[in-house]
Amino acid sequence: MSAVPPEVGPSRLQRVRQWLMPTRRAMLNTAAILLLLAAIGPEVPLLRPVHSFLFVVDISMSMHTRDMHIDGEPASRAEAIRRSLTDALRELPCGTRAGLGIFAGYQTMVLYQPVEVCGHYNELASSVAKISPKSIWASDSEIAKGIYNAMGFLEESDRETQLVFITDGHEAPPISARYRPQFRGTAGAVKGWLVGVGESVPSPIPKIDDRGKQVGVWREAEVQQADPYASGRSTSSGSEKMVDVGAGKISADVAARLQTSPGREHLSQLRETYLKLLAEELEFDYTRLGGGTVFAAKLVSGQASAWRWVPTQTSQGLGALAVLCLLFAYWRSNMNPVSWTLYWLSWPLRRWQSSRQARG
Amino acid sequence: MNLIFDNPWLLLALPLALMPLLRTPIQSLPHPYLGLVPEDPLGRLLSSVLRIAAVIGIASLVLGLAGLSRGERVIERVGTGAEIVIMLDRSRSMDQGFGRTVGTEQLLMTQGETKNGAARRVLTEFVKSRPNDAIGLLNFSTRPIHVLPLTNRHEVVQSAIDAAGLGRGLAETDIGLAMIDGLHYFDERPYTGSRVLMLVSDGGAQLDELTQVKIIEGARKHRISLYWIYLRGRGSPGLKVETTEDSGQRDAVPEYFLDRFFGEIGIPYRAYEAEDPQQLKAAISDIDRLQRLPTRTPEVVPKQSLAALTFGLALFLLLPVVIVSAMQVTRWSRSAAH
Repeated sequence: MSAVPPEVGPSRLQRVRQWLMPTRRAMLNTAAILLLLAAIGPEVPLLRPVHSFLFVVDISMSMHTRDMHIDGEPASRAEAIRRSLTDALRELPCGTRAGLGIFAGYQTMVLYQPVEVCGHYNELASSVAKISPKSIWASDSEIAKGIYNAMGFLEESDRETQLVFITDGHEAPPISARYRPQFRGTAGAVKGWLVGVGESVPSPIPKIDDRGKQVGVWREAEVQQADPYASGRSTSSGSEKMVDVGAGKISADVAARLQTSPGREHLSQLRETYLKLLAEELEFDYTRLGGGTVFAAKLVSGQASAWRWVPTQTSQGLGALAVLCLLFAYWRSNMNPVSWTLYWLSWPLRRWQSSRQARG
Repeated sequence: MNLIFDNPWLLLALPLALMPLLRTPIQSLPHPYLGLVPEDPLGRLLSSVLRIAAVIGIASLVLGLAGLSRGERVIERVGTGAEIVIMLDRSRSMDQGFGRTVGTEQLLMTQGETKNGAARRVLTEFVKSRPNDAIGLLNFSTRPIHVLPLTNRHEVVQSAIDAAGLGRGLAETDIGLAMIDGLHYFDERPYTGSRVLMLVSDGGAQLDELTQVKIIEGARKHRISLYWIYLRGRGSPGLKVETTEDSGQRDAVPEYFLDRFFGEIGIPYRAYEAEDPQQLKAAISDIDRLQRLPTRTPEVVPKQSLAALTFGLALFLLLPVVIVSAMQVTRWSRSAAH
């Protein structure tokens, strides 16, 4: 144990000190090597959180409503979604996976399952640009069913992927508080987001013909104003309700949160409290559609889908180290990094002291 | 060329580029009397050049740190394969059983496979055997649904074909609208010699006059070849007409009508029955026989990091300082002292 003679001690300490006190030359050389590595840009696998999203866009007729803005210009909800989604896809970090789907009627149709965003940006952007309410296959808009439908797909095929369902929450025909579509799966098994689009003030819904031209707006008489359960048999008067003993009492709170507006169903607004209610029930997060950058940041800030070894660009980190080395080389490098930092942190204090001395 | 920064706030470090003007990374040596040191104009010039190079070098380094990137742009990708637009029927009827006739016209089900399943199986195989082709995908039901642009990245095409198996079929079928939209894929693209429109459906359609005209015009203008992969369901008539009924009666059957209409457009047209693997192989090799011109596909390229450029330039400009520092005199040697 005591094989080392005591007189060797100081020399070893010296060596350590020398190592901690790199010369300017050593710092410059290190900076050069770091810069070379940064320029080559090696990808190093790092364990990072990875997100996978299936974006489902509501393309029902209410998405024609022009209550959104793009760069200050009025725009339809569909246009706003396209813009925001394209921007968000651009901002999502490489390694994130994104799939696309559309919703109309009571069905979600998946265009494709998630693919890596950076490698498939061209395809994703092009597909998003073509998402339009003009491709609807049914005129209804049973949103809750569409969400459950999409969750079902993810539950059976890919539980790591989060559902991002972008909608205005406008159910057509209106739903009844008592006979709301119920989610039959396990809440929480599929994670996700509900993203609200539209304004909270009701606006008329443009009526679009087969050729894609606007022919006026939807009128009160053309739209089903109350849920089918409230209106009773077709022969009975509107005031006659169906008798139903079996159904339980529904709290007034839930009924209010559905935001149905009999008599004003031909107008459309963002039904935020309804979407929040659904989000609570499904253990989803809720957000409003904003700009693409904010949207992407919000999605990525959420719980990660999985932790994976992702090849990561290291250029920036290496470049930052190179800058530090250059700082040492240019500014008093014959100190070790700790003393160097302390020296420069205390620089203002020394200046102040010396100026006081000069005056005194 | 539009330039963007990933972390623009790091540009605040740009004043660091002034560092070489204030300091030098070369170790200074004490000398008893500077008057004895000879005037060295070359050395002074070299020193100024080094300083300026270092200023630009560090500036470039900071730009790299801030994540200088080339913004999104559109490039033209040149390929050699054919351009194939697949139009996949997603109507409700595709959920029904995929049938086939064996020998004595007896209809059998292939292991309970749906027509949708059969279509996906056939397309998966097809895409695998055409690795160099640009493939676009259009789904259609009551209206056409654009799924993918023409792309050489077949992973995403495969993913889209798989996704067609999720959930039930959508609604009705409108082949006419789908054909017109499929033809739009070739709008404003240079002619390449091998353009294929591939219809995958389980039924025919009666097309109105206007739609017929539009399809004929588009097909002739874009000079496409048309392939129809027909999925015969149970009880479907098939495409081959054996009976000798008069044409008016035959046209009442949508399949016969569509087959005849496609044949009369004046473009290369073939119909294949999906249940016959030999016919599918024929379809795949038929595409090989088409004339080949290079294809040009516009492609949006996402922003690209210019790290190699910025850090490389920084290295190049700082390297002289490093070399000089390596050659520097760190101690007055005997020869220098005298």
